[in-house]
Amino acid sequence: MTEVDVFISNYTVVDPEIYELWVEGHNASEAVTILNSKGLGQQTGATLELIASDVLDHYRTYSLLEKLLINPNKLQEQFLFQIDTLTRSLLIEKYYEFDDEVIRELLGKKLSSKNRKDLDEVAEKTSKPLKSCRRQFDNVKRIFKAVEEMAGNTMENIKTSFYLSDELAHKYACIVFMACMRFETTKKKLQYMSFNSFRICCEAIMDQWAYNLTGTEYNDLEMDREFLFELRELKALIEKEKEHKHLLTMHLKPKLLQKNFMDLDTNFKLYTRALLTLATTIHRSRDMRNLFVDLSQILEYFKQANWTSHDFEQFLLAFSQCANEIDTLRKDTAVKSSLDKFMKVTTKCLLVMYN
Amino acid sequence: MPGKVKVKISSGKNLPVMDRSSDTTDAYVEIKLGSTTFKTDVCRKSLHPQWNTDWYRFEVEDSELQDEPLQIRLMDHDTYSANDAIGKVYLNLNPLLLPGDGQLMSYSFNGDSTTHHEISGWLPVYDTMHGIRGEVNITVKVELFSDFNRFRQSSCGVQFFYSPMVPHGYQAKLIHGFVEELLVYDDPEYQWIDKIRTPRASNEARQTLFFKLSGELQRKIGVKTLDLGGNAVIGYKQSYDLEGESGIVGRGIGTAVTLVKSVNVCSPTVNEEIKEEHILSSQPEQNGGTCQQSAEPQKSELSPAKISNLSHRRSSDSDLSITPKGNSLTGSDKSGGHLSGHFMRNNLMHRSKIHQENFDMLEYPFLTILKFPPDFISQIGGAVSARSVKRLETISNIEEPESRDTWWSEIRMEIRSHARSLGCNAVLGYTEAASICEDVCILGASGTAIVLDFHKNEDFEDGGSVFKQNYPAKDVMSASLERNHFDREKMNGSNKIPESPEHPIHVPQNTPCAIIHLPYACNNVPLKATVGKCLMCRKGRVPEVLIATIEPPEGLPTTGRGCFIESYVCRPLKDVKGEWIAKEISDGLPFLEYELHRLLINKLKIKGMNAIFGLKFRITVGEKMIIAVATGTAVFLPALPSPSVPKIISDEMADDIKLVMLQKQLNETVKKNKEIYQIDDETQNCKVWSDEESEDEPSSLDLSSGNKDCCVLEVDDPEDEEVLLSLMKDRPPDGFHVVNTESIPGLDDLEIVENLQMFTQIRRFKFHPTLNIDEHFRKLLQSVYFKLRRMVPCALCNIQFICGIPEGDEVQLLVFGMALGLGKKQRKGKASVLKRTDEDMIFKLDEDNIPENGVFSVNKSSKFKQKSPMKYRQQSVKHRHTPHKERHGVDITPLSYVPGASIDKYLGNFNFFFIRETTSIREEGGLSGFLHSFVTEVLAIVRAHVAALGGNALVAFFLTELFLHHNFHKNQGQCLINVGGDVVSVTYLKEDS
Repeated sequence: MTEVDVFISNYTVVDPEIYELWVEGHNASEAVTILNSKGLGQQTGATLELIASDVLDHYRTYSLLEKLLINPNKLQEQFLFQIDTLTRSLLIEKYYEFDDEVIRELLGKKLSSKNRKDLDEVAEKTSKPLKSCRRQFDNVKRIFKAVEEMAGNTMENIKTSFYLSDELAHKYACIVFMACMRFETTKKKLQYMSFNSFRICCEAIMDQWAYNLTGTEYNDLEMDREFLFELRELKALIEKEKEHKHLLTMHLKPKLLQKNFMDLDTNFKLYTRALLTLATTIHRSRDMRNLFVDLSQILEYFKQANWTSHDFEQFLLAFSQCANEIDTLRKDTAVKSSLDKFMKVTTKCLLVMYN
Repeated sequence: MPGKVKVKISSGKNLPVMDRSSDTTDAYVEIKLGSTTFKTDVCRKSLHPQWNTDWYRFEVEDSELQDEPLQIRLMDHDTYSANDAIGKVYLNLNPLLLPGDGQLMSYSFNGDSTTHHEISGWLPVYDTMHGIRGEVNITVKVELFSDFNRFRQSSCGVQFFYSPMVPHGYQAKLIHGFVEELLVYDDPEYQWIDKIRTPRASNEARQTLFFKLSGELQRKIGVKTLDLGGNAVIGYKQSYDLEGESGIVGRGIGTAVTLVKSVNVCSPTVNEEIKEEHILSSQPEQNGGTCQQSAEPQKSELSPAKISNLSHRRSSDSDLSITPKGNSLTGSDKSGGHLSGHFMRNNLMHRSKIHQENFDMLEYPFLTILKFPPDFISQIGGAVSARSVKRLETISNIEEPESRDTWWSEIRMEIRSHARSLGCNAVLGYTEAASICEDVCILGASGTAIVLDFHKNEDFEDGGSVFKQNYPAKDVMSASLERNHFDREKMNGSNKIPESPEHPIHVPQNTPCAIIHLPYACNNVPLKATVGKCLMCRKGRVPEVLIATIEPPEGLPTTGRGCFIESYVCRPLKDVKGEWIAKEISDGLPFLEYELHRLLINKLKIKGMNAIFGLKFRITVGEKMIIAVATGTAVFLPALPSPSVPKIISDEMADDIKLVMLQKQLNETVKKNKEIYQIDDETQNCKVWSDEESEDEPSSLDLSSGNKDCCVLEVDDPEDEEVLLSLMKDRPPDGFHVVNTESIPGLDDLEIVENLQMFTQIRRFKFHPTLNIDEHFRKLLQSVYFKLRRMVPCALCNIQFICGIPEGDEVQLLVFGMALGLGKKQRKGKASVLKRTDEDMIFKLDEDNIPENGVFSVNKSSKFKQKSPMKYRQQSVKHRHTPHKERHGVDITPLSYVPGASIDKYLGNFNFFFIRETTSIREEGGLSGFLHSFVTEVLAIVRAHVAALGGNALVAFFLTELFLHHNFHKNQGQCLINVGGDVVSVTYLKEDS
């Protein structure tokens, strides 16, 4: 029986394959099985014992590294392991990578220790190892805590404090943003939405609706309140409903399918009211929280009427375009631009959600 | 005659939280040297304290400077209770006592304050109970004052090198000889006070003691060196024997030399020549011999796998029938043009010399170095070793450790007399080792007996041309005669040994094979040896098989590639105590050694080779068993006869068919091995290796009457068969070239281009002495191969085993070595010299894609064909390593060179002894986890110290001891480790192509 079996080298060796298995939360014996089933034993003529010994060596190193991985700053300046820059970024990047399914489950949940305890449900639902879920939960929480109050562009903040790639930092920025907004995402109606759909929506929201003033004490994790208040002015559009409808039908007639056009003609009031109600109420934070629920409500109408997504898009694009041509709005640039900003995001979200 | 030490503590970082209530630490620092202690202010509530102190000054005797480490202890201030220790930094001040700028001191170094070294930087704070706990930024400077006192006890400025050779960039002007020292201290762990103090205090007392012991040993050896007129010690070795109750014995041995800086280190030509990776066997033309230049076509026939070339040879060896490996060239116009190995880069050396009178005056004519300046050795006698078993009794008087000294001098005397009986006047590659279990201690020493040629040196002196010529760096190594089991016990008692080597010293022949010619007539030696005519010059007499304790010599022609060879024997011990066990071990030793030797020789023959270099013997004794390990690097010397294939015999004739099958299998293995290692001895086999033409003596060769054990394998039972099969099967997987020397002999189309990885593999397992220990060693190596699988093609050099038997039935094996990246050989310039035939080019190209395991047929066109299943082959195997453009961090290597780089400066030597203890071994991941993090931390601390001294690599790294004790039920564990090496700063050479 081997009591000690340790391999140590001067430069820390990271085996990307084994590291990934470790990050994914497989325990050592699972990792051995997986590696062997991938044919490592066959290729190299190595026995299971040999593979196990290698896996254990790597696992020990990684668990020593974990203390540093949760603080990538420390990983950069540590001296315990000699790791080259490339490997270092690989270590961090992989450690902070996440499964969309798991993150989708975490969205809308409070990052509390109570919820951490309940992660086994998430693990079961997503069939990911519990360890991996914990890691992802902790990563999100850590990043959230670190950048929540930090001024400036959140994506950049994440990048500099955690040494992540642009792509991953973007994703985390969205997760953090959603956590800050506390968007309602768990409703049954929204269950079908993947993390990626939410991400695309949030990117648009952050881009258009959030504070984007670099060099101030604000960050882009807060909504531009002035803009939201300005949206109330869109009530004016409801008064100009007829005019709006006229312009819109003129514009869309050649573009839409007959049946969709007919539907628009009959239900225009319903549709425009729904959109404008949303616009005029989201300055209330409760309504903002329910943004996605409301959007899905709007979608519901179109789905019932069996709109094709192409036509739906045409309608949404034309909606603000035609509204801008209404006389009163044409003069009011402020309202015009709020409508544009509102519709840009709404269009994007609705389209993502519609598909 | 004091020195002044100045210390500044600027800041700390990442300290642990010592005060749980506030989650911070109130840290301050205690700086201690000798009996003086300073304290900094307390930096409140910070894990990253800033002290920014002024200089603390210590005025100390220089002997104290050498002995005492500077101790820096970080403490947490506590108002209400005792202050807690955070951790410590030990600083060895010896590197700061060396003369600046790599200038070694002249004889009467007076320590002018030309020393500009400093230790400066972030050093890890280490606690024996918790491991590394943050870092502290320190600057230390030393100023020495002049000292002309002839009777001083200090030896500041004598530089110590663990590297077993003349360091790069230096020349050995004079080699003075063997220096040694032995000190005995009480082990703090066994003192009465240990019962009442904390484990931390006890560990720290021990760590401090080890530092002092190391410093004192060096100081005393330094004084001896100064007395001999030297200014440095090379091939230095330090070991600690933990004798338990009877204390700690510190032993140091080394070779005192006078080093001078070489004139043209790093001359522009050097870089170019590095690309040329041939072993150029040029002979210094000391006889003014005219060089005959003749292209010899038959050579390519002789060794199809070899480079056929232009060869410049001496007229005297015109009947030489086998080319020296590689190219010979005249050294007339290029100084240092004969780049010999990958590693002897800029080690351009003047001829070193030894004064015969002085050397003869020395008690022991031993040298601990493994590589020698050219023309030192005229002939080689044989490997000599001596062993004795002693019982430890408490040393009554610590001040006079007479008994230990006596033990070792007995052994040294035995070695000396062995050497003399072989007609030799010196021993090279001398090493000593001890193994202790309870109160039994096995002491052992080994080396290679050689004939030092004083006359030649003196001739040179007379000619007044000693230092005029710049001779190429060349390692002339001794190879040792393989004697058919030299019975040491007998030798010991025999009175036949001549007390001084009065026999005539042969005038050295100038053939490359001269050094392996025997220095003695075999009928004058009290041992049986098979001797025959040298197959190269047909003049000298050579042994059948050669074994050397040192690196393969540069000038010596070899054929094919070298490979790692090893044998292991484990014997159970009777369950007796005291004197009885000592007797049992003592009685069993000759048999153990014989068996080890027999296995080694049989393996050598199966490999189809006839010489071993770098032989290392290690015997470890435990409570229930004794394990012996022999390792070496096998090569084929064309001057020696091709080994005969061992014959298998059996008493049980019933198994006749099986026997034939086995023999067939064996023959095929030998054949295959020869192919793999590119040994072509066909031409040789035609020539009869005999002594018939010998005029000066009647035929002393009687192959039939010689000891048959080495050519015959007995297979009487399944166990023997198992051994036989194991002898045949071990061969490293594709892409691995394994040796225990510093580079790989006969690495044809590849060269070592970069350091990849210093590795350590430790295994500990339950073992029953009746089982086969072979299997475990093989597993150990296999897991090393597996773990380095992504690094092929690579060379594993300087493979060293450390075997321990910590518990009755537990064995701990440790292997460490260096993985080196192999790349395409740069063939640049020197086109006129390295002319190759097209045939060779084909060979090269093919070889590029061939895994070594692929068998190639040795035909004229040297084409390969792949056969055997390719084990260990990855789909994404890199076929070549190219040196990295940038290096990061600190390189640690057990070798004495850094490939792809030149050593600019030796900054001092390190010897660390770390102790780590834990009371939560389960929480730390069990024994493996505990050891893993400990060794990782030790390497990190060593690297930090290297960097603080201004170095970027540690060469000649050693790991001599690793004791691991644990008590699983108490959840406790303790580990001791001894590591060290030479701190250097190296410059990586830029690719200019």
